[in-house]
Amino acid sequence: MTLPAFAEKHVQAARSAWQRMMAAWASASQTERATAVILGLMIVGGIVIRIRAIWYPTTFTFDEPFFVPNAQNYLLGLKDTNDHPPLFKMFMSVGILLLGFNSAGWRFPALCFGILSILLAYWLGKACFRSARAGFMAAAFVAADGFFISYSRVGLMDGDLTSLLLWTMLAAVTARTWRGVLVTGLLIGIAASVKWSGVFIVIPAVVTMLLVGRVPLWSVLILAVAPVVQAGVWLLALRVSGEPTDLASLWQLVRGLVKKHVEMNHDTNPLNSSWYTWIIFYRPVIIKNTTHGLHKYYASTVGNPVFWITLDLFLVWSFIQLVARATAGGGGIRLRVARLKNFLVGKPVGKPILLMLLGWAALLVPWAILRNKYSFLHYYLPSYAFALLTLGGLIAFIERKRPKTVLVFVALALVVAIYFAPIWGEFSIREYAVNRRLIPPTWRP
Amino acid sequence: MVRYVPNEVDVSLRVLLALFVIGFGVWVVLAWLKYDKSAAQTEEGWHKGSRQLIEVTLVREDANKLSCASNFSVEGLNCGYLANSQPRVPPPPDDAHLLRPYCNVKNDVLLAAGLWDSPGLRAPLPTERFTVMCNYDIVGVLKSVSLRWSPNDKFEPAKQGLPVGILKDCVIPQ
Repeated sequence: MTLPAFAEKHVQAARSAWQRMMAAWASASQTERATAVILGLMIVGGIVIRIRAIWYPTTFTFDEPFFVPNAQNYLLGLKDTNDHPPLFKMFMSVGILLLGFNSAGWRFPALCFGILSILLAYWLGKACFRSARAGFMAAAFVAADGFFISYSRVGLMDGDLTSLLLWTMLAAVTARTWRGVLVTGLLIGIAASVKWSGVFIVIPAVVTMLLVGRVPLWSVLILAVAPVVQAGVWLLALRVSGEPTDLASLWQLVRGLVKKHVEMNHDTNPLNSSWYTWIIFYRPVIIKNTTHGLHKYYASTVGNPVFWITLDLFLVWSFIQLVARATAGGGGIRLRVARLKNFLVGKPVGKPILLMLLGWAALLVPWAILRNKYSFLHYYLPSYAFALLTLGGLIAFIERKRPKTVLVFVALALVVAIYFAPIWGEFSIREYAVNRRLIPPTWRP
Repeated sequence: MVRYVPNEVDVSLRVLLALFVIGFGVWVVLAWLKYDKSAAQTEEGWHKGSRQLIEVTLVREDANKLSCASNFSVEGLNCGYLANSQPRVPPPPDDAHLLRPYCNVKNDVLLAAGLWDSPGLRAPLPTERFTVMCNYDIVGVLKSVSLRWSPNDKFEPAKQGLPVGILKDCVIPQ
């Protein structure tokens, strides 16, 4: 396809999307319009908070010293000494190339991917739940959540990884033939080239492609392209940094890094938290923390409590319902299975919710298996993205019957987001005001 | 209304296009916000022997609240406290030799002497927070220093080396 044809197609797509949006607005009730306005405010406000004074502080913060010098090394043709795959640092080196070796430069990719995640949440929510409203909800929830805001403002890789994993799932949901599977495989390889744990997206991706896209079973084998992509990315990185580029050297390097990660599992860290505590945000990390006089500037990774508490309650309620249906008297095993199936996929929203929850659970698998002593809340960021997509689909489904309840819910979420914004987006704030927001002691620095 | 339904490859091409558009947009916005003026790690021209015009934020009570602690002396300028948090004996003779921490309006922390003796600050000071414009003569840098922003607080070690200097010709901007 020629470039003008490509551009024409996408201009047409944008025009078509705008017309559909206007039609949806015209047919919406007053309550639904009010909800839409609040969701829009969440998205606009979320983007503004992500961008404002992103360069502050101008020095390294949290784990940035592990990544930034190595990103610069790629520009200088020097060795990357970090213990993660190279792609995130290569993205960062693009930011440094564009904006210079300064805090804006090394945080540039995190900001771009952070904003892209909002768009991806919309597209994935829309594609998965077959509802633009669900996509709109998911995008607004990602935009107005502190976990995503803080990770869009710092030179760390988990935000980039999350964005790539959402992209991968979007490719999986829309895959219908081997071409779609190939694109999904390429994206899995790219995501795993940012951080190895990204490879676990293969579980929900395969299930989605087989159940939703109904791709031929054999085509799943094409996902084997993922390790080839990772090897290619790594060889490119070695070439840029002037290191040996033969496969034997790469194998030695990867083995050394795996060994290092296994050894790190025995380390301890005061910020460590177990995977099962992440769903209640037991120990969020303040990834940017500066003090000037009596003024504090924090970027806390605590999520929007309205979102994660609602989601946790939904999970608990669903579990109770499942147990109740499985153990209720009367009927044999078939009847019990039928009751469970009816609960899980009886409603149109059931199957997409299960797929999103599969994404949420699959990305927790590495940390649950390893029972890591050296694990942190930010490992939960990719999982949490799928949790918010689940919530988006669920709330959009509820809105059909209870629009006023949903209006109250999103209004509450916006109010809480505004209240927490100063400690997500590094506004000048006094310590007593910080403590009013970070109430549990484990939330404080 | 013509509905455009992207195929399975176009979906990812569209995401890629969006990433480039976002990247360009972010680059334009950051340039418009003059990121290059704010993101540099060191203030241009801040070196030993230089004079900078700075704007310091204050409240009237800061004259008795701000303190630093260090065993080191820079060009005859000393903190009021030693590294063990005990008052220096003998104390610095006057405000012109007593270092205290201040924040300028760009949120840089600096150590300076001579502010409260400035002729421009002899008139009754505002009761609300105010700013003072001064010439800041940098005479050195102090790294082993702790700061206290209120007499009720503990001294906290500075996380980086701080410029040390003398504030002169201070005036409250009108």
